[in-house]
Amino acid sequence: MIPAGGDPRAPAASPAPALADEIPMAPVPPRPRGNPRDRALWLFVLPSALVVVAVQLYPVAYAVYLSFFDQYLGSQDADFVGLGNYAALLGQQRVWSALRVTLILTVSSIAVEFALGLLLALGLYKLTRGARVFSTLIFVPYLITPVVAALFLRWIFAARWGLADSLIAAAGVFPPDWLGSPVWAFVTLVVADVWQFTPFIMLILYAGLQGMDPSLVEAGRIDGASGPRLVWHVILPALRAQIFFVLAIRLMDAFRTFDSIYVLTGGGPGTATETMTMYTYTLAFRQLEVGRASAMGVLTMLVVTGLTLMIVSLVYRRDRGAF
Amino acid sequence: MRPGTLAQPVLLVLLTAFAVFSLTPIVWAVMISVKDPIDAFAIPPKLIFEPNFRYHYEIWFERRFLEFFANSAAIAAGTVLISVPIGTLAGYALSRIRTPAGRSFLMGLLVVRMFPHVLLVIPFFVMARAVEMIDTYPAMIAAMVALNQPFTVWLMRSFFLEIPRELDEAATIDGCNAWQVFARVVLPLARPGIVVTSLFSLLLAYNEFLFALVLTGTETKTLPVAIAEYGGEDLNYWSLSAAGAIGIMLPILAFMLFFQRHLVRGLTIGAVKG
Amino acid sequence: MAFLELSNVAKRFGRQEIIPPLDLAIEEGEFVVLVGPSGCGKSTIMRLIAGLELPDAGDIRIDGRTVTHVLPRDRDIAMVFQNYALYPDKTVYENMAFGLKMRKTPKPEIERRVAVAAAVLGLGDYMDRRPAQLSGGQRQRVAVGRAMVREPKVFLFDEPLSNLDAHLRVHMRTELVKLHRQLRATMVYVTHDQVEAMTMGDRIVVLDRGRIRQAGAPLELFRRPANTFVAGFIGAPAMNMLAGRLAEDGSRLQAGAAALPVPPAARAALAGHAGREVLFGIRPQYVTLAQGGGGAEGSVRVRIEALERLGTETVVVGVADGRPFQAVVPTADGAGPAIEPGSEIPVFLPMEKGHFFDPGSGGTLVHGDGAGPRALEVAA
Repeated sequence: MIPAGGDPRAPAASPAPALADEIPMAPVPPRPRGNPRDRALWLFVLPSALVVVAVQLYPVAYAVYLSFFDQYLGSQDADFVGLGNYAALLGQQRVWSALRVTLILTVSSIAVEFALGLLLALGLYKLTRGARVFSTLIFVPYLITPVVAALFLRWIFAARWGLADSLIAAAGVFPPDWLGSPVWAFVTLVVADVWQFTPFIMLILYAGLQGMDPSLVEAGRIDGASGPRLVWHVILPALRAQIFFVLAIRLMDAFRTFDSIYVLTGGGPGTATETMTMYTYTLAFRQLEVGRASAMGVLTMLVVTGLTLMIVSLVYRRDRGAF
Repeated sequence: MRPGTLAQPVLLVLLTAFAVFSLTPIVWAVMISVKDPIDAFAIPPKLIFEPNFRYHYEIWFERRFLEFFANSAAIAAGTVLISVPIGTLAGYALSRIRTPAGRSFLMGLLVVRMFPHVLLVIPFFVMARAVEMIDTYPAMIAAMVALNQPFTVWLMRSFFLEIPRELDEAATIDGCNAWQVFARVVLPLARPGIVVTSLFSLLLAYNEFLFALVLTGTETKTLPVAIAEYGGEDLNYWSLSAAGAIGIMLPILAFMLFFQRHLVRGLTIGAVKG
Repeated sequence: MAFLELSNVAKRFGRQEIIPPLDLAIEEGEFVVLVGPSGCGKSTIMRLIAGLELPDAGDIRIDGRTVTHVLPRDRDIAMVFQNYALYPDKTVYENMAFGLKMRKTPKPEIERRVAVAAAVLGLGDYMDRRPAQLSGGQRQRVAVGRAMVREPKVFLFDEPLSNLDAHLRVHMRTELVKLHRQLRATMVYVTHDQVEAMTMGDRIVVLDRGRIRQAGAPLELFRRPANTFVAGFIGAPAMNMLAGRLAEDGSRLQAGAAALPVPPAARAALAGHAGREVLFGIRPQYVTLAQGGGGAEGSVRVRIEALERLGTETVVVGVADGRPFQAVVPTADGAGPAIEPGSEIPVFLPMEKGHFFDPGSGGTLVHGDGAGPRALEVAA
């Protein structure tokens, strides 16, 4: 293969060796790409992909399909109603209430968890001794089976016999109805979430702090920042990746909380603490309306995915480095 | 950060307060589990009493909780044995693949992780019922493996990202094909990651409630479902219930605290590598 | 037909062409150094030779066999990585034996080859250790050993000395050259350090943004650079460049206030540029501090900005006619013109030791001694 210019070992030997970019070159003909190694690697991905498609994507697709029908669990006949289920749901006060409950619970829980988790992480970071002991102790609730955790809290908050009530009553004060009053039930559920998941946030942020470059903080100090301002301007930006991670994970998970609500309030009193997830469950397994339940589930999914993607893209656009 | 800006004693007090907050419900449950009902629910709460371990014995040996534990263990073990290997394979591949297709797949996994379980459980139930697989191990294990994959793949990927690609290249030049590079060179170096991922998979399967509630029956009932049945209003059952709850908690707690360092590493690696 | 040949090889990354069609021929037993600034494509070329990347166009041939789409392990090449890439969980012995094991070489043969390599590299005492227990230099040698036992057709070195401290680097340089002489193997060596290139290679290939700027023996590139890029890249401190206008009769070059005589031998080649702008380059080592007042023909006035006293030599760093200018002179012990930062001194340029370049293309017009520009690439 002799390129223009003669001897293949002396390309473009002209009196004044010109820079090659002044000579128009013939366009490079495309060759079929396909690194054999890359192809083999995709084979590695195959089993996992198959499982996910078969056992997650397919059921979801099936659920969407179901949502277009009016069907009762166990029966064979299903009437096609198109978007009827969705229309009916969106017209129900109960659905909007569920959305509101879900949002309030999620936002409150995450806000409190994050604030506490951050404070605890900072505290651990500044502790000279014993950080390990504290972090281990505080970490325990995160490990406990959520149902069990919910039961533990039930025995604290149960009316009259729970620890909280008996302590407060012993002090002569009339205790609130933790699980029976619409307002206090909210509080109880937030406390439950905070109790279980603050350790998670604390742990991640603490690890982030330990991995942080201490000279950043020293530079900040020298520049005159201290205390809360130091935290806001120096530490939080340094923990950006970790903060993003915990918020994203908690957002996804808090939205779908089921175990603790099932055990503590069951959605009650009435529907005061009924989240979208709880209502979906009720529709499917108590009222046995599988079609409508699927539609409710799809709505829940749309809200979660929409919210999460919105937040992710917001953060992603602001600093492409975080991911 | 130089310690001392906020006095150590104040920090100690605050951290102790939160530690107390974290541990009180557990301690209280332990106490209920060994008290007779009259002692358990006295006002003010009785701290001095005579412990009675009857309930612990009863819940495990007379109320079939031992059986339920076997179910939970079987499902958890099955989940780990299937989920971790395929997740590891995928995690490795995705740590090496640099094309947009690879990134899309990872994003796709993330989206899948967002699916509400309550949405998934409905078609699962309908389908399982249709093929008469309700109350079987395979149905639960399949569900757990699938639910687990996004997390497992992402976590293993972040561990594999720590192993330099140059090792892959050296092995390739040394004569390994793709599988040999993975099995003989990279995998041995990822052992800590596999331990962590297995622990998390175990934890997830053992703790699962919603799917177990829907998919298991009398034969395969798992501990979370069993204990939830004891959450009723009847005070007389509370001691029994507490005993069961503590029993469920203990093995996992012991196990996890033993592996605590690994767990922490796993969580934090996931956070840093996104 | 050369032993290792790249014909018309091109590589794209996305829409950017990082290596435009390139030809390179390497003879058997040659030690060729690919050198250039970062991003010039030298590592990419090495990876193409290794088969770790596939070219978008062109062919690669090793010992007559076209290997363009052959897997790395079947190309009969071995590579020494910048970060050594030793298998952390395997011993030194296992690291070196691994490639042979994968090829199902019989055990006695493996043991023999490893023993030979270990002896040559002085690794005999470390065979049971793991990489983490070795020093940087030792790991380096294990990496070389791993390549050696394979007895490959081509050795590839990807900046192997960059991670070593300066002292060790110098030592390993000579070791590798000795190894080359011993094995008489074909070696392709990538580095960004022009000193390594100059001291190690039979032939140097200077690359810039994917293009070969010049290829040839080290002294060839030093004495007869083909363009301003090579002139400025090879040799330290870098060559001084002055811009000026040739007189109509081509007898002198007016660079700012300085009138520089054009050596008679070079005048013929510069005839076509009479009255036009040219660049003149001369190495700092050849200039001398002018005696007397200066203003003499063939000298420029340099305003001194700093002095780097290196013991026996001093580097005078300054500015001449608005351009950076350096001179390397023997350290005066009292005698000679007083030189200090801030002062302006005349510096004499031996014109026949310099080079004339075309300002537009950067290509060499003629060297000071009259020698014309050669082809970009010269066989060793």
